Amino acid sequence: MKRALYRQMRHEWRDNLWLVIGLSVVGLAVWGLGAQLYGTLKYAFLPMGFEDKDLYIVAVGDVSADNEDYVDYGEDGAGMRDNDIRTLLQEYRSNPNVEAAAISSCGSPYMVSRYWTCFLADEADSLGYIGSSKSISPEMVDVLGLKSATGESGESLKKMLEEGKILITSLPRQEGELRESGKHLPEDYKGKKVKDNPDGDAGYVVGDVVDVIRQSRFHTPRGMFLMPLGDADLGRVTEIMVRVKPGRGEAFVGDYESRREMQRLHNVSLGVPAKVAFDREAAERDDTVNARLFVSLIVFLFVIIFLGLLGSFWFRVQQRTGEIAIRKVCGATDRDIFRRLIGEGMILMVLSALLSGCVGWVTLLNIDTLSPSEIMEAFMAEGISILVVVSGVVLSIWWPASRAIKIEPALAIKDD
Amino acid sequence: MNYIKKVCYEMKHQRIMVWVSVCGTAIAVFLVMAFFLTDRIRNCSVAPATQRDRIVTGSYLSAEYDGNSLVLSSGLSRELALRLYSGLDGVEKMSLVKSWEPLVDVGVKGGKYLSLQPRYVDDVFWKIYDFSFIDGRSFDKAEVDADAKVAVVTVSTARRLFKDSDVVGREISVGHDRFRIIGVTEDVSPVLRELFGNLYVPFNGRNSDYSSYEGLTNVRLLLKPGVNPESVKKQVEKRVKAISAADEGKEEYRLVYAGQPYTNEETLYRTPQDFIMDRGDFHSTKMWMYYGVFLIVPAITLGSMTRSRLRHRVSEIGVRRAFGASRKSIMAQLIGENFVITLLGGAIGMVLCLLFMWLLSPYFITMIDYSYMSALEGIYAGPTFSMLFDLRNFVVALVLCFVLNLLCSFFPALRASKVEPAQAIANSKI
Repeated sequence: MKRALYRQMRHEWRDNLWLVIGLSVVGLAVWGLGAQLYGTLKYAFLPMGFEDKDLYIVAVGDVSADNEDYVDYGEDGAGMRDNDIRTLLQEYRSNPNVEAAAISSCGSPYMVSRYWTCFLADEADSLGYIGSSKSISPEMVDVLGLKSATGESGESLKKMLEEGKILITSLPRQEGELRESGKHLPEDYKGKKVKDNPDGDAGYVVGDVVDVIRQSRFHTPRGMFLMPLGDADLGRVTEIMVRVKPGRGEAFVGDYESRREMQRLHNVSLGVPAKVAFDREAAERDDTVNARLFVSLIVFLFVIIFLGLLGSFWFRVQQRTGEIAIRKVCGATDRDIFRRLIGEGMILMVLSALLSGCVGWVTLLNIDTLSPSEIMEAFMAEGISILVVVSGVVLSIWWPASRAIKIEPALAIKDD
Repeated sequence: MNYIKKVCYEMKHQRIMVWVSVCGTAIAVFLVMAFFLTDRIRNCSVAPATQRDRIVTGSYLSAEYDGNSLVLSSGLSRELALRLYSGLDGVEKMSLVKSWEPLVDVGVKGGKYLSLQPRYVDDVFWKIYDFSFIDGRSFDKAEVDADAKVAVVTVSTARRLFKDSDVVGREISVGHDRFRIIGVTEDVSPVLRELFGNLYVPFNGRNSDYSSYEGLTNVRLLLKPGVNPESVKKQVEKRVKAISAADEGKEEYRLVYAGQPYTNEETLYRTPQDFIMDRGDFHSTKMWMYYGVFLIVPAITLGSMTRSRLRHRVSEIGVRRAFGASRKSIMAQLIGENFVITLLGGAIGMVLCLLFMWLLSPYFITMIDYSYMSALEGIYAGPTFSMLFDLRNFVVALVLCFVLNLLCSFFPALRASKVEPAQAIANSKI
């Protein structure tokens, strides 16, 4: 049977060649788009490094001097302002809806802040660790839900900040790159004195490394320096960060919206509490929309591919109605005919997979920046693309074939 | 007419094949047009940004720091913005705007406070964009220079705050400051990300600097008609180098040129780091690659269907050839018939695409940055009628149908036209 099948396919070599080329292009497209989709989504579901659920940010501002209800603090302006911030912070902490509240300067992962390049205190060469600096009070460990990457407890992280030590975030995705370029991993800095400028005198001891903080599910995260912000630094406070008890978010915001006086003390003016999750949404909006569009278009492309395969195989099977009838008359069962048609599709599929595989791999071999894990991913994507096209081919043959084998042989031969 | 009759006949006698072709074409046109329109809507020039293709933005402070070229902030100090961008050749107008604009609490005395999107702009801003004022006016240079507490609000904001659009002269609280409304404009579509706002207040960049280089100022430049943004970029690059040389030793870091000023397309799809690293226009390459895939894959699959359909008609082609039809006329007939099917599918695909964009655009087209739902309340967030129903979109769809038709029918038609009449009638096969 196999030999007869090969002979028959050889007789129709021109049609089969077109089909193999078509299937190869389709396979390559599915492979490329699948790999791209995987690349877009592969990091999307990893932990963010902080919990944005029930997390709120309250901007700290000052009423301008030309405002009619501006209060003249007098000589000890800074001290009085600090007291006002302490009072307002205490009010948040004593709110029954609030679990924890902290002060910070650009402390939200979504706030723009200065970039730092890290140097060891006694060396002139940078360590290759670049990150944004955030000043946070120790309570921020509870507010953000920071986790030590080296097994320290939350309490010891807070203690380190109280002692004036800094925390830095881990960089798991850049690990390979750092090792390759001979740079240190963030974990190597633990307990060492670092500074942000090769000529600077001041240095900070790295207390610990915390899990990487990701601003977006789609981008490679950069490092973060979490600097201590103590009672003496209240002048730099730009926001109060609040973790609300689970399910109490609406009550918390409603409370502050209805009592505006709680948001103002002398010249210190607080914004309405805003969800940090909205900031994440905004940071991810472009990528989310693009990923959504990309996935939708791929689905539609698969529908066209399926329609194309269905149309082509429909006609092939229709052309063979007479042949199928003769085979049935000669004793072939429905199963035999079905197997033959599917077998033919599979041979074409194998040939096209070989062709698209060769073209794909030649292309990949010319990209010299691929890492072993990316090559592995390319292998997996190829396997998945073959499976997708095989499923399309089987479905496209199965439907017309199941109709064709139901035709009465005498009728089929007469019509042909 | 002959083509249409033939297609109608085919639809009756090869129903499944023809409808599969029509559906395939509809989805192919839908795919490419959806991709094209999402890109176009993000870049179109519609009111109040009718001169959008002539507007470029000066933003981002890039500097060399410890051997690395970094983007330090999205804004500049007022002084640096003026040093870099004022008095450039080919620039008609220059406006200063604030680079970072988080939502603010806006309310009326005794009323509810809303979180709204503010825009901090100067007086020239109103001359670059053609806002349509329902009442009142925009702020002038004197008001901007004096940091006057005046505001222009959109009509939806006026209605949300006062339940009325006749609000000129009334007071609102922005944060804890009081502002007087001096003008009411039509709403701006959130699709125009760089200028969407609920209210507009004066900005002169004077109290927003962090250092001599860093601050919160961005500039919008309206180029003179016909001026290529590249010529302005070259001038800015020269100025960056001159400033770096002049300030050597005075500043903590050296300025680095990062492709400024940016066109709207560059703002959307490229980062300053792309320019520093000389990464090229990856977005355009990617778009062309997708267009290629979305066109070639359907063309191949539709092409095999066309070939299958034509194999049914071998005897007919043989008879036509026997009666003197030339190869060219056979080919023209087959391609023409296929074009009718492609046009039918294309029309269905275009309607589907417009419906898709109209109804689902918030899910597929990025709206404003930092937009919370409260800023969008009461505003239609999708593309406007003029963004979708542009003649150019339909011309592109027609050209697309034509290309798709040629790709999927030319070779099958060529092969069919080459068949020998006797062989065709005898074998009914090509």
